[in-house]
Amino acid sequence: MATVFSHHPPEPLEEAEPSVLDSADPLGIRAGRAMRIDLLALLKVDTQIGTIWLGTWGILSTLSFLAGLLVFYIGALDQAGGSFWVMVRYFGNIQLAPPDGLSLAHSLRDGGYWQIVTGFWAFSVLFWAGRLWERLARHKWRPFLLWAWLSAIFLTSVIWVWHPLLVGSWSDAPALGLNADLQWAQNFSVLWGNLYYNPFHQLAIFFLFGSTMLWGMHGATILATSSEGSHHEDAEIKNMTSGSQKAALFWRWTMGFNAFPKSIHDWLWWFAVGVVLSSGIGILATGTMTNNWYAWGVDHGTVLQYGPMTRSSINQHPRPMPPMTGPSGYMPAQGKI
Amino acid sequence: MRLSMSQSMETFERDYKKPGNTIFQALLGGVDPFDVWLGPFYVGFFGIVSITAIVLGVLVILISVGQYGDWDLWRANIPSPLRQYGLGPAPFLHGGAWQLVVVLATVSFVAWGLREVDICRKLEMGFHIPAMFSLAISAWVVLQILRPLAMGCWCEGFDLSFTGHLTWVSNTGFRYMNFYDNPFHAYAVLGFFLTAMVLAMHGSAILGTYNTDPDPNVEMRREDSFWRDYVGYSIGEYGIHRLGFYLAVYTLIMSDLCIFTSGTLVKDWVQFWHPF
Amino acid sequence: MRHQIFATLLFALTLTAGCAIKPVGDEAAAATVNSGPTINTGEKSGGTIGTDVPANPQATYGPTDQNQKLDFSTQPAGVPHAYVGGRLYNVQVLKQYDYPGLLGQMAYVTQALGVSCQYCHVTTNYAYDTPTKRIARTMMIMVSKLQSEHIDAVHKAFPNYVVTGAVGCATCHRGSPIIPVKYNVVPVGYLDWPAKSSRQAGFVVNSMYSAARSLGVNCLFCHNSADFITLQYYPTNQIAHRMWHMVDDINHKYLPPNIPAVTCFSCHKGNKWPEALVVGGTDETPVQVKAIRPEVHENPGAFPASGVP
Repeated sequence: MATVFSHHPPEPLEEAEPSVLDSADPLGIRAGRAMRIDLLALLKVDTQIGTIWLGTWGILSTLSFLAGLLVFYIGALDQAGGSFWVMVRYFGNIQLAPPDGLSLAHSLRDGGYWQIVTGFWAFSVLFWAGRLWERLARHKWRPFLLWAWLSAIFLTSVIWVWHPLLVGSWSDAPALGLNADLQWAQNFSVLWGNLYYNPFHQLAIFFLFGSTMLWGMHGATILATSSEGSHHEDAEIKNMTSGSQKAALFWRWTMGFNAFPKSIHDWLWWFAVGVVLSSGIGILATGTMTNNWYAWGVDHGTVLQYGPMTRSSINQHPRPMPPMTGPSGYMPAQGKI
Repeated sequence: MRLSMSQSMETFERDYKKPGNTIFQALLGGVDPFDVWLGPFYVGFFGIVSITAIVLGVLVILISVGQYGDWDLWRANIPSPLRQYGLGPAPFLHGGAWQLVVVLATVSFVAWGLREVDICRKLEMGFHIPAMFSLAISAWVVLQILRPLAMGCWCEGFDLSFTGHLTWVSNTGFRYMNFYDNPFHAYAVLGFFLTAMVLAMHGSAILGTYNTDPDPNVEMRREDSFWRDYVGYSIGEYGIHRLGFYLAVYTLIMSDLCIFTSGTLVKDWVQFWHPF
Repeated sequence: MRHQIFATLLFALTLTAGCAIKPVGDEAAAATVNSGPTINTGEKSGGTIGTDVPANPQATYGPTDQNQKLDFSTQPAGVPHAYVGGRLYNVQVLKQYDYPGLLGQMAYVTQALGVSCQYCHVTTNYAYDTPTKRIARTMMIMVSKLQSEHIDAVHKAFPNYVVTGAVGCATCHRGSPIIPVKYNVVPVGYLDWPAKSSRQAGFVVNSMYSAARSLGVNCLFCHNSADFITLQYYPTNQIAHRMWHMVDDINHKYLPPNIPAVTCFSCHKGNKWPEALVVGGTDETPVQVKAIRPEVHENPGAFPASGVP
């Protein structure tokens, strides 16, 4: 009867086999020292921490991220009136807002900071995708994780770039800041007619709750049968032993059908990626397909209407946003940077 | 016993289909008359209870929707009772149907969970799955039963319908001003997003490495090596299932808390952060 | 070792970067703020108010300087150089009262504002015009115009929502000459929908929160969140919209530029209706405030928009 530690002999630390692909990268270093933290064995997780691969992609990604962080810090300090401790105290309220319209901000405080930080962090996630691509190839994985990451980038780029472009103003993107991001979620939904009625949003919620449900199911199933080795999933895919058989039979008897050690991971993957893909499409559709999702729902019969609707909330097909001229609502910056 | 993915399960299922070991038998002794299979489904005493509750519940739904007349799947609605009925029974069309369906649904969920326990006993596996399922139905119970009880009227439960439950969620959020300011909600949302991310990671890991090498130890080492290169840590094949399981547990607990405290302890989540 | 020094230097550099950047505070405040609303001088009022709103009241209000040198060259015609008690001089707004009646109204004013006579009057010459008196006149005209132009119209359209009484000095002042400002609402033009951006929507949402807290209610008092914008669902929504116009009027037409803007809270003070109301017009006699139909305020969604029972 295999134990859960069977593949972790306590003595040697695992290091990746050297490969010519590693040395092809001038910045290709496995950094740090692999350490063993025995306390983790209590949690029944792997006890080795480290090493981590640096690599050119990783270095570039980290540098971009840090550059953006630096500019964020400068902008935050500026907003706190130059006082470091005020900034610390009100850090949640720091808000680097995007400019109005679609052009380059005319000053740092009126959207310049936002554009710079967002630009750096966009590059950072793209470089990270490169890192992912390269490491997956090196370790001969099929690139599922890359598609998942790219889907996540799809969603964030829709929110920060494509949707603002489509509706004609950067100001529809979230501002950079803790409370600001939270408020954006609220304000976006209020502005666009209540996103609960966006069918892609509904699909995304289905996938999100479904993901948690699937983790509950799959995690519980493996933990329940792990005494018979079901957690050695690669081995079980080749040859189902009693653990996986019991896992499959549990679900067959419960709900009439079941997955297998490999196919369950298809379910998991598609539900997880479904969340970000649906959300991305939903945000793309906002402001283009309609400017009021409740009204859209009424028009398409998916929504129980509560009463007659006024002109302002009637479903309006692509309505271009007027350029925001005049006061942006914030105190206009008097000094120029 | 060798088995590839594509072979049918009936070949080994026979070995596991043993009578006995059910809760019914443990409590009442003797022979369990429901200890049979119907096709792939296990029946069991609790299976009978569950399916009966489901059938009755569907009947109530059909009658109620029929009374209202709107059969459209998106719009057909079974509303929760009006406020004036408080915690008492309501007439059928003004909440009584809702009350019946909620009771029957809860009975069927609990019975389903106990049936899962029966199956676990038969298969001699751990009880993690029914434990997780109990947490899932706890969300239903908190929303439709415990919170209305705490708030003093059944009207606090959500309408049973597509639009109805959506609008309920939206209105309940705004009833407490800004639900994003509810810290339990924020923790739950974090839990949901983390769960989705970790799910994608685990799915990608297995789908990325299965059957790339005849030796599963090599495949597993490839997994570990990749994760260590990529993020500096590989949690391991047992650990990842623990992580996912407990993330789901954490998320559900936070969700329960976020809705249970709204309206009972806190009536304005914006003010919650600066009470004075 | 080297990378540690480098990291420290980088950290120190970013800290000092804050000193190089000018703070946002002073210049923005010193630069042009709104030039301010001007008092509408051309408007004739109805009812018992016969005079126009005085033009350009001076910028300082507050306790009148009792030791000031009286300069009669700038005073209106009716002000006597030597004041004799028991008679009325220089009455511009409260014209319908005789002497004891006027004193009674003054008593209500002092009670409502929590001040004594010296606050507005020079006690050696009660008829003498002071800036504080002038702003008081503006306020009296404002109060009766708000009632006639805004509130009476709402009462007519929504008879179910009527609350007995009219707005008066006490409604806002509640025993203090300076009203504490609470919350923040946008001008009514901002409520134009669809908003131009998520950010504008955010200002509106914040205003809605302010309005809700000012009335001691939650969002669902006026809205069904499925469709926030439609005004026709709940009469409370339509009433609130009209009230918003009234607040705009107060801030732009009646209040002089250097007074902080009023919000819903200024009158409502956390209640669905203000609890300090008066007889009306220029009559500041307090009344017992009562809602005609209290149940409509409990569940606005249950009652038809027209307000007809």
